[in-house]
Amino acid sequence: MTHGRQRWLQLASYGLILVLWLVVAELTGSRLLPGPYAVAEKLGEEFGSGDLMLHLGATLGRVAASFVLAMAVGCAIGIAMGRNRSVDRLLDGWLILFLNIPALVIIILAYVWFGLTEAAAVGAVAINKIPNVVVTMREGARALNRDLLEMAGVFRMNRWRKLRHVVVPQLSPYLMASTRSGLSLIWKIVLVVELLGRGNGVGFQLQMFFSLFDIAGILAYTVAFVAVVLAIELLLLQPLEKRITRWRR
Amino acid sequence: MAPLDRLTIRIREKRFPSVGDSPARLVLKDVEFSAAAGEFVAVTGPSGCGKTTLLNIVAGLDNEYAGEIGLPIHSGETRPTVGYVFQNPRLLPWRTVLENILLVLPEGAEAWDRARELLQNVGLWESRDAYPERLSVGMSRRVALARGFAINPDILLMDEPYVSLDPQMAQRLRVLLLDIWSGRPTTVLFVTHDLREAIMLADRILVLPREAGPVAAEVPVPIPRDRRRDEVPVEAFRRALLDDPANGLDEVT
Repeated sequence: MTHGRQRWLQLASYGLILVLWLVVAELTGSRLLPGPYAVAEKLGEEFGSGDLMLHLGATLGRVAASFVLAMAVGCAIGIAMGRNRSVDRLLDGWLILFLNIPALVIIILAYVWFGLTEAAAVGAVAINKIPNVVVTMREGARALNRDLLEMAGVFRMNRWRKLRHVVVPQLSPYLMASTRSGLSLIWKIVLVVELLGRGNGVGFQLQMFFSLFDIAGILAYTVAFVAVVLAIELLLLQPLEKRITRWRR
Repeated sequence: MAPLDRLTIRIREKRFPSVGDSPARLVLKDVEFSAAAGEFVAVTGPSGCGKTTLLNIVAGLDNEYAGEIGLPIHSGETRPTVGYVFQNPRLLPWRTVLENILLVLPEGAEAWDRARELLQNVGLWESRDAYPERLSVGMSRRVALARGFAINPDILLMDEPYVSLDPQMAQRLRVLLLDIWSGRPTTVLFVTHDLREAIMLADRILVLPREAGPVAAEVPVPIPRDRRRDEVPVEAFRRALLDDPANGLDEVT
């Protein structure tokens, strides 16, 4: 199949969602399912008033902070567990524990113990994500090619070179997987955190629209956020992935 | 440490611990030999006799043994530099040919000159921007050879680098190895199970016994280097070695 045809199929797939939405909204004619036009109008309104950028910005900021924190801590712990059997044994129980605590419990406890603060919110989201990063990065670290590490050792590559040219390229598929699943998981949890204890952000807005039964508002913010995530995927992650896998035959 | 120009090896014992159901195994015992600076020593012996283990010990990859290893070292240096040409090339697939060489050299303009010189030596300067997965098997091995020499090693370890290549390719690479080595002599420890290869390349051939034990035979190769590429004297010497039971070479080809 040609590249152009693939592109076309991709566009058709997005178009189909829009058409389906339009048809169902027209057929039901309900206030509870506004059509694309009504949602677009609401989106324009929210954008015009500056509310959209304010709340979307607040949410994106929290997503970014939680993501960086979760990736940094998760990678460090995951790689340590993958490379060192004692560390693995020591932390394995903790990992199972944190993997299975519901996100809501962590959020509530964080707010109760540390107050309704920004740090508690971001920290709670990161703690929810860290175990998943640990699991993925541990797999990656376990799969590191011993032959290449030995080569780097014999030829006395320094730590930085070894990390950058031998270790990270091998971990990059795992980093990409963590990033993808991380962004989608984190932004969902961020909304919950905002709903429960923040005065701005998409989650806060959704709660307000919910109490007003403003479904167009809810859909408008959903569309805006999905557009941002899609942009990150298309403009950031896919080109990055293409770049780091260009050596493959 | 005083500067050493000899490679001295004294391995009293090397065991692999038991793993799962397989029992502990004695791999090397009382292996002692030395090599002069710039000497090319081939190590041969039946498969499983510990040749690769010996190289890994010399390379410092395996420290779980009883004995001492003294590596040759350039005067003024604190640590010997070791080049290793592995059985598989072990190139970084996500770095280009040139980057694979540059990454084992200290940063700087000199490194670049050095990498270019070595890649020209092995005829791969034109392919410097290719990724290893796009190279032929022979080309990858040439990159590995260039990398081994690039660091200007005090000792170069080679572990059956030409096994599983077609005979002509293997022969071309041996000739290339000798060309480069004669231009920048360094102590070489070359593991092979191919006696012809050992005779063609080495100043001296060491034979390790099947059961862990001291070096079974130590044979200087008397054929002048300018006649090594000729099959007749190499083959004649090989027959002579095999016919002498004292060499314990019956199992080796």
